[in-house]
Amino acid sequence: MSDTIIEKYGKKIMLLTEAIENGKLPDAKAADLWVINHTDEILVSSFLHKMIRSNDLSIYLKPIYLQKEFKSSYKTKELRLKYLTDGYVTALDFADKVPFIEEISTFVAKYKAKRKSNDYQTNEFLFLKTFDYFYTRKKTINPTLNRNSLAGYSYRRIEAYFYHNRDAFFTSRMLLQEAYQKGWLSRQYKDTSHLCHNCSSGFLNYRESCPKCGQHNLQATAIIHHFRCAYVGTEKDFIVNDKLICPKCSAALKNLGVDYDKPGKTYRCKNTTCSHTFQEAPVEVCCVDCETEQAPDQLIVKKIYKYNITSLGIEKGLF
Amino acid sequence: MDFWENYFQMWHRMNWRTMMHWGWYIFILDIPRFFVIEGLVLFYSIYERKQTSASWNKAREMLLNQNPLVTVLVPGHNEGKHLYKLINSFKSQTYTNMELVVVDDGSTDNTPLIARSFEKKGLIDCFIRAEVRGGKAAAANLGLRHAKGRFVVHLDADSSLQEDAIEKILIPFFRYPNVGAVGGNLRVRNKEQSLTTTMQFLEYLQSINVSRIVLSKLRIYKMVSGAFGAFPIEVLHRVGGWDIGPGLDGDITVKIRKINKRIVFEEQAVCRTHVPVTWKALSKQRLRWSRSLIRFRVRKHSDVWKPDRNFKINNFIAFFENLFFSLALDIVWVFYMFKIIIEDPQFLLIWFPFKYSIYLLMALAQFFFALAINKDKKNLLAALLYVPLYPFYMGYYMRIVRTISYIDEWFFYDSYKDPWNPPKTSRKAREHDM
Repeated sequence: MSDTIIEKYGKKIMLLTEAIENGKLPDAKAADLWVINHTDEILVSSFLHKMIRSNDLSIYLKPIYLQKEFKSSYKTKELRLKYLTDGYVTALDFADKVPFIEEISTFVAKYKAKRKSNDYQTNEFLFLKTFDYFYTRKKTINPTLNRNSLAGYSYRRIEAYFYHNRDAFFTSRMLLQEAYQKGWLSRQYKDTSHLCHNCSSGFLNYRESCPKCGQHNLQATAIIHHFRCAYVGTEKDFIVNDKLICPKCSAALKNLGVDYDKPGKTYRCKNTTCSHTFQEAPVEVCCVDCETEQAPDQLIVKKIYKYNITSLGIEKGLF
Repeated sequence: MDFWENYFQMWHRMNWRTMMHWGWYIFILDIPRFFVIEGLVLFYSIYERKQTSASWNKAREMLLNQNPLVTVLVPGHNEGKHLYKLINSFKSQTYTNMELVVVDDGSTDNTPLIARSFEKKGLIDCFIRAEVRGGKAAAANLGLRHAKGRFVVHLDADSSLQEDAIEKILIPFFRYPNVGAVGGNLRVRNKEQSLTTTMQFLEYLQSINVSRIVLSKLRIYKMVSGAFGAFPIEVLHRVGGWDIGPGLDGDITVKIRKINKRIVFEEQAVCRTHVPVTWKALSKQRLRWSRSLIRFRVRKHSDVWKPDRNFKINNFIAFFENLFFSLALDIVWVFYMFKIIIEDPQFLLIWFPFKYSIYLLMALAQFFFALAINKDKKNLLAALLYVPLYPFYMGYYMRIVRTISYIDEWFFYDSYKDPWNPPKTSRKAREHDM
């Protein structure tokens, strides 16, 4: 059994159902474009990854669309199938996309022979693969926020080349960095991120800690100064049935600024063997992935850029 | 030669009748109080201390065995510059089970920066800053709220402790039962800085060192100086900590006396303190101190004077002695001053050298009292040269400052206008007669 092929606007469309079910890449020559005809987003995602990881130009550049009719099934935000495809079509209407499909066919025909390599894992080949896609799609290599990626931002298309999260993060950045240094890509600042100094994860837990014992179970309270009797204590000292009553002179505190004020705030360590009181609580960061504790100034500060192909890059990609 | 001839002539012309007529208070009050009683009690106290040295040693052993945690509480405003010295004197103490709590009362300089760096290094155990100034009492209470020790030693940031000062100030708690506060001995640190400070050096020797030994022995000691005093923490909690000053240290001592606790002066616990360098600064300080006599002794604690069921003869005598020898004698002094000018200005030429001679003799006697009970005699003797100025300092300068201050406070309630306290607290204090 193989998937249905229909013809429309003089183009052969393959409706991918079986291929996604079985996780097998169909023959590229059989159709001009592919349309996803499956609602299981996990299977779709793994199919798309397989397609992007392919080293065959005619496969990884194949125009591929999702159907708007199935959009409601693709709910998992993290998968963002849209970024791995050429977008959505409604009722298989791609009349406006015909020139684009033809462009791709021409590009594939012209460069298929040149995209042969002994080692498909070299940065050189990966760059060409990236170039092919972003050049033909006329897109910017734009990182998107992604909760599932290691650092919080990911270059979806590029990271899809790799099997592991860490690999995807490091190699994709290296690839882009190298291409930028060679002048093939230009870059623009997008954001800054702070990452674990041990594993570069961006999933970090920040909390105030006791400077004496290092624990994080702290209680912050306001200091209250009752002017009349000069009693100064924490807010808790004053609270009696939702009212503020001075523990020293039993007078009710009514007007802030007239009867009393709040000249500061303290933290108390709730660790019973410590109970330290202090005002400046150092912030500590714990990496959710590798559990490394670190101070904020130990975190790696990474700038995040979006990239565009330069004329030098085009020269490189088109030989 | 003429001068000495005139001088001896004066002694010839003086007789008992004239002396008593113009200066009865010298012979009836000043000499008995500051020379006879003071001398007798002082030497009795020294003698007794020697006799009971075994009990003192036992008390010391008890302290060292129990080794209670002591909170050294240092509230201050813009005192960051003194912290390094303070911490050094803190670290070299013979008594070691201590925590240092520093309260920054809304400093406007780099105090928080300095203190936080010491806190980070572990040299200050607890540093708390009030972003808005609340006054000395509020700062002390904030520190008290965070104190963990069984005893609290209140200290000024610009003072430095002798190595055994903390140990010595704690011993009386173990020597006597029911002690509610121990006052430390204050010594002027910057005595060489100016004439003003040298005179204060002499004054502290007499009015703090000698005088407080005597008052403490007589059980009418009522002023534990804020610069260096120790309290059991439960006593501080019982009296609700400090009330609004100026003179909050004298006020809290009275509050502790009122709950029937004994107040002891410990002359061996020595703290060296920085005193005002200029006459202007000193006058300002004394105006403030003296106002508190009216504000607290006369007004706030007026119940001490009333013979109701809370009446205590000790407290009454303590107040009476204080008020009488400061306030009443000042009035007498002013009265006779004017009387003599009006009635017999010529007589002043005789009277003045005579009075000076008597007060000089008394000053010398007091100086030798201090010399007798002090170990660093060399240091004291260096100041002997200035003793002849002492009658002027105490008899005129201090009297005038005090009298102005009493009038100010009595009629104009000036202590409530003193920027030493933030206006927000003074306003409330006035409203509630605190």
